[in-house]
Amino acid sequence: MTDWLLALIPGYGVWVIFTATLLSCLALPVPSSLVMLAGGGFAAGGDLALGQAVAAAWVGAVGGDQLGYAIGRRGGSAAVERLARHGSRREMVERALDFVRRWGGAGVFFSRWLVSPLGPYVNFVAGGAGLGWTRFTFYGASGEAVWVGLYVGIGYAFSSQIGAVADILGNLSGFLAALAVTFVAGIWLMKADQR
Amino acid sequence: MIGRLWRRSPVAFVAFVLGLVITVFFAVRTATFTIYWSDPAHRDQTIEPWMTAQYVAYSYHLPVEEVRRAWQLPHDVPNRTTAAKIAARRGWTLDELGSRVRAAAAEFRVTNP
Repeated sequence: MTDWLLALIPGYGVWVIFTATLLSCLALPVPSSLVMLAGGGFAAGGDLALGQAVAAAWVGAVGGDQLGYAIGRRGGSAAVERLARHGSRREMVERALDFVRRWGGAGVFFSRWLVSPLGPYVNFVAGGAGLGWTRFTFYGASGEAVWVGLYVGIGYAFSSQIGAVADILGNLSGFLAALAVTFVAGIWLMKADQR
Repeated sequence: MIGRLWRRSPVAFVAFVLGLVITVFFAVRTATFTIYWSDPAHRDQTIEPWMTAQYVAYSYHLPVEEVRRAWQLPHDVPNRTTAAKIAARRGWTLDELGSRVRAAAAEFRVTNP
């Protein structure tokens, strides 16, 4: 599927890039990083305009985030309320919501690009936990600008090494995301142990 | 201690251990790929089905005419035709397209140092 998708870029460049980033922000398995790298590479080779590639990726990503947030808000807030109704869980849910309200902005920003595999889930959670739309959109759109700029830019700069760059970046972002999850689970474990 | 952590919060414990395993997995893969691709011998980019003639020319630092000649493209075939289509049309494999480009590149670099 990856090869088929990448082969569509020279003909339908902006639409492929737009769709790929949009779907990947909804946790669908689309190789959006590779599409953006290849988009940058095609731009360097003259098959595509660089500005258009960046704009398409950014609009797709921001649109995908909004969809994910809306889905979380519709489905999630009811689920959160139901969870909080049980007396024993109430405290835990309150604490989790507090956490999202305090760290939500930073979480949204960094899950766009630094630990991007976590991004789609943060969208659903942010919507469900009721993180304000303006804040979500501001931090989300800024983070996506970094993500898109980084990947299309790296594709542009290393266009003769797309395969190599994609292999390294793909694993590096998996590493950073797993590290972040381990770190949070570690803190959780320590707090549970102190109680 | 492990037994105590497990009893206190099994979910956090499982998340932590699983996270640790996946972190190590990706750390090893990142390192392996970095070492692999640092070797200049692996850098001559292989022809992927999605690459266009224009793209291959760019990535091999060749004028696109050289790639067109290596692949014997007729005038009506545009530069943004993908390698997959060219291979199908010519009845060649992608490896064949690759060796033709590398031969053209070697020749070009001799005549245009």
